[in-house]
Amino acid sequence: MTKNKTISQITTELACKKYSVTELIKEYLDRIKSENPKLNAFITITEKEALQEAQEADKTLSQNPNIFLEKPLLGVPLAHKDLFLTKNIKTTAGSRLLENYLPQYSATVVKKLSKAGAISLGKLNCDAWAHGASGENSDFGPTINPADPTRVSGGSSSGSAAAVAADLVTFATGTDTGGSTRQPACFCGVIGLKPTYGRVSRSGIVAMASSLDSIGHLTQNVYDSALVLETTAGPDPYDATSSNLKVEEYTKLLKKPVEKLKIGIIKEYQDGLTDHDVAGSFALAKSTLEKMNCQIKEISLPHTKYSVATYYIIMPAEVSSNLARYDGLRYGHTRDLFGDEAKRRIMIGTYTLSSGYYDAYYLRAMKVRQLIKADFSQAFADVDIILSPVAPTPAFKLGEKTNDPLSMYLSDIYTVTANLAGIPGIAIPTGKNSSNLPLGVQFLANHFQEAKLFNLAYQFEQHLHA
Amino acid sequence: MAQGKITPEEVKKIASLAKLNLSAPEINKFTPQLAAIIDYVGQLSAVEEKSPPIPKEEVQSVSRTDEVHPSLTSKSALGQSSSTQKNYFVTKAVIDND
Repeated sequence: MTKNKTISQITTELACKKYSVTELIKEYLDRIKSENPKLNAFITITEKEALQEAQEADKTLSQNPNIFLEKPLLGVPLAHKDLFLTKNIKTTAGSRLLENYLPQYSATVVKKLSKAGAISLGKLNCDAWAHGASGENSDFGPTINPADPTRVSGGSSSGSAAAVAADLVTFATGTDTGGSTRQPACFCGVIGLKPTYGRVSRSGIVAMASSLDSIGHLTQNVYDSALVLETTAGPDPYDATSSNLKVEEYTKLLKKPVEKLKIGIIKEYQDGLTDHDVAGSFALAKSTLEKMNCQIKEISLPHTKYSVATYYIIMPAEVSSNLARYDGLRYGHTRDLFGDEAKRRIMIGTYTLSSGYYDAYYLRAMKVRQLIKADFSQAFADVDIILSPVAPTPAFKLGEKTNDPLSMYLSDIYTVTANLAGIPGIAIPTGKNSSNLPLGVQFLANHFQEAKLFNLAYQFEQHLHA
Repeated sequence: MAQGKITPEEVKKIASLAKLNLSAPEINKFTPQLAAIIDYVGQLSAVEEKSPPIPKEEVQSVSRTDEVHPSLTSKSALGQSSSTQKNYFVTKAVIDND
């Protein structure tokens, strides 16, 4: 289990005055200053603002010791992926095109977490425009994996995963359009949540692919993940795709018995587990669930083999539309500052949406997407949760995949399906390989079944560390 | 589905549609990469099944009452631009009447 402080540990220790918020925040800021030059997890560190908020939090706490009922995250250090607009604090999306952009408003999720008392220590590095699965597409240099300085942190929420793993913050926000919260969480050994599409507002977050973007977070453990979702989830008048469904008290539902839960294992994935460590991690997860008296069942998702192709038509199409706004007129620099990956995706999207190709590519992909969604609906009629690998390998070496864009895309095979179907998923560490590289698996649930997801994940986590 | 490799001329045209000014070396670099990706995603042409209809509950409009609420001030909205005049963003002419 992590040695890093968790949210509940911090709030308990603050409540019994083990230290003040200011002392706590100073400690995290010192650690950031010492470690960030090696890890490159942060693009911007907001020391002055954080210490100011810490002082205010200490004052609030001294006046009202019961404040945690109203502000469950009071004093807890976090940081935001640099896609999240933060009022008057530089927000770059990992790109030089926005290197001087000062948002005039904050994202809904930023406001919600601040209202709950969490203190942001800065903005986290990511692949530019969230385009990537390694962190190497950031215009500000890649984030280094805390477990191994020669390896990537994963992406696109690279800084978020590294910062949580290295205890630079207690939790971090992320986005997941094709796996960008779950995969870096797996590569760095922390918990990564992708909520159901529409569970968390996308307002004020730089849009990548508007029908696929899911707003998630990375935490030290499952309890913290459930707690953060209680704050970030909910309808938002600024996001017309946000759901009105009631946000459950996820933290109160963690200890429900999980015996007899039916866990699906995807038949089509079993031959592809060629990496020894990933196969071992998956087998460990399966045997742990069996020891927990869950019922393991093989399920079929026959259209899953088309997931990557479907994703790499729909996503670039939506990207080409969303990035059209960056014309250098109202904010940011001109379009020549887009990096290679952004240009590639814009061009693929433009091509597949263009006259003569639209039916054959985009429309066809939208139809296959419905087939993939139907596969999942059918599977969830049979099982409660699906167990799946997160990535084909553990964290790879810096530079290993940068020469072949298509090979990088193919490593998204296990994560893009959840985005296409809109379902939630959580990545959980299972251990480390012989080179100390983190390994993990993911659980997937049906739409808006985060309570079931957290319930199983929590018990799984407890069992693994028993 | 269109088979056959994407050509440098097509890449140039797409770049122009997307308002990306690519240099000749860039066009040469991107052409084979885009060709490989388009070729890969083209495998969807093999999927012949009819897709299920989109459920009604997934397709609904969201509306609000037509009330004015405070928003960004002009100063704030214009504040990030390097090219403004009075309360306007300055841009190149779209229609040339000369």
